[in-house]
Amino acid sequence: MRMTSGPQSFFPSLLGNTVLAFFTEALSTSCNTPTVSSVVTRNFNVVACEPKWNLTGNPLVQEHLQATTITLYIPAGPLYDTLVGPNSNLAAASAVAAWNQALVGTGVTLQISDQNCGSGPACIPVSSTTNDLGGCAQYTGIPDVTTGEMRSSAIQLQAAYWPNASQDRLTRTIAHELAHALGLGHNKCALTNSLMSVPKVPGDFPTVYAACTDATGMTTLPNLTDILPLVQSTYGNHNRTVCGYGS
Amino acid sequence: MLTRYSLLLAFLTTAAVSAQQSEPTLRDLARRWAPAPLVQTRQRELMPYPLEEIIPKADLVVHGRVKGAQSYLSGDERAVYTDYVITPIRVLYGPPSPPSGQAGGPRTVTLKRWGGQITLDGVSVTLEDRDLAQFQVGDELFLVLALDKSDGKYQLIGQVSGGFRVRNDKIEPLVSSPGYEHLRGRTIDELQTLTNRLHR
Repeated sequence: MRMTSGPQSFFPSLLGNTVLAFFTEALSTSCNTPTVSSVVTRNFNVVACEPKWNLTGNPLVQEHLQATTITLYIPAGPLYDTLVGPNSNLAAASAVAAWNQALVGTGVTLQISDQNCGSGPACIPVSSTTNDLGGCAQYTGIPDVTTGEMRSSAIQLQAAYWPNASQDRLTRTIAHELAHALGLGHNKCALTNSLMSVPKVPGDFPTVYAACTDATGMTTLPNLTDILPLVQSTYGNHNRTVCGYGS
Repeated sequence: MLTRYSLLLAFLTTAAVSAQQSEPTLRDLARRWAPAPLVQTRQRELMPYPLEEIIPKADLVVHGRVKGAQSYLSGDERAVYTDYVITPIRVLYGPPSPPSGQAGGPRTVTLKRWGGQITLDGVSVTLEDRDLAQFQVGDELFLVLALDKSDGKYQLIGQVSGGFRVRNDKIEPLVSSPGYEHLRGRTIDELQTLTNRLHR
């Protein structure tokens, strides 16, 4: 069995002191609202710009994975060789490491295995499909409408694209789909290119093939815009309230 | 190189079919968690297809209105589809005769999409495409469609890319994407010109 879940730094270099100060405070706060109002305002704008957590059921609850170790099952063969590799340092490993860094303190840890872990809530099988997905890849999930926890989920990659995609492009794909698994929706802001944004296909006569195989101009790992919603959600444990972690 | 690619494709196809056959059906899932409603969601790493790429592939480009909708379980019980009956207002590109219906009858188009809501063994089963909401009866749409010859129904090209809302003769993207914003406000006449050029 091969597994990997090692940490990897992903924070963007343009991260400013004020932003970092807010992020740190939000992580350590309980149910008390941070009092540094100017910093809060600045970051709230980022969060309001989306992505937001998906809601489901009645009453509306935020979707999330269980607060446990979640295995990304990538079967041995071409898919594993392309996404993980013998040294566990390829696209999927980078995406998992980046999200693990962001999820510290939530109780959720991601890992990769080439052994089938079933179809339950702690396993996300990755497969390839020749069906037209309408994009580079897709995430399907079955949330418990009462708690928001994912009962089952899966990631499918479009067979027409991934064998020819760059490692950066595949990193974006896996990180993006993992964010859906975590409960994040798309970033619909026109001017923001976060991991969860829908990129503008480049070129004079663009093709989806090019956009699904080349990461030029795209954010490939979760940036602050994608991560900030974590601290304002009930993520990782449905008993938490919307007040950040550590409560 | 070609052989290697062919082998890879064959492996992937076989693996995909094998994986699909081992998946539980929606009926299995509904029974497992009954009486709780079953919700399955779908989201993509969305890449909206440019109109210039999908219109040349289209069998039918139509401006129309949703007249009716019917959701149903697929034959293998692993999906719910919805058939939308569309009354064309203007066919921008398509077959010269009515796509469906008897001669002299109403001109209608049947559009099939993944998703919808049904009741299965007393359990509510909803399949939700989060990139493109289900259409509603009365919706006025601009659609770029491909014919599925296996069942005679049309499908959106690119699953979600070929669907736009129409208000006051101008289109609005239904898929949220910066790449589609430049299309907002284009008139049906302008799209007719584009369609004519791409299908020349």
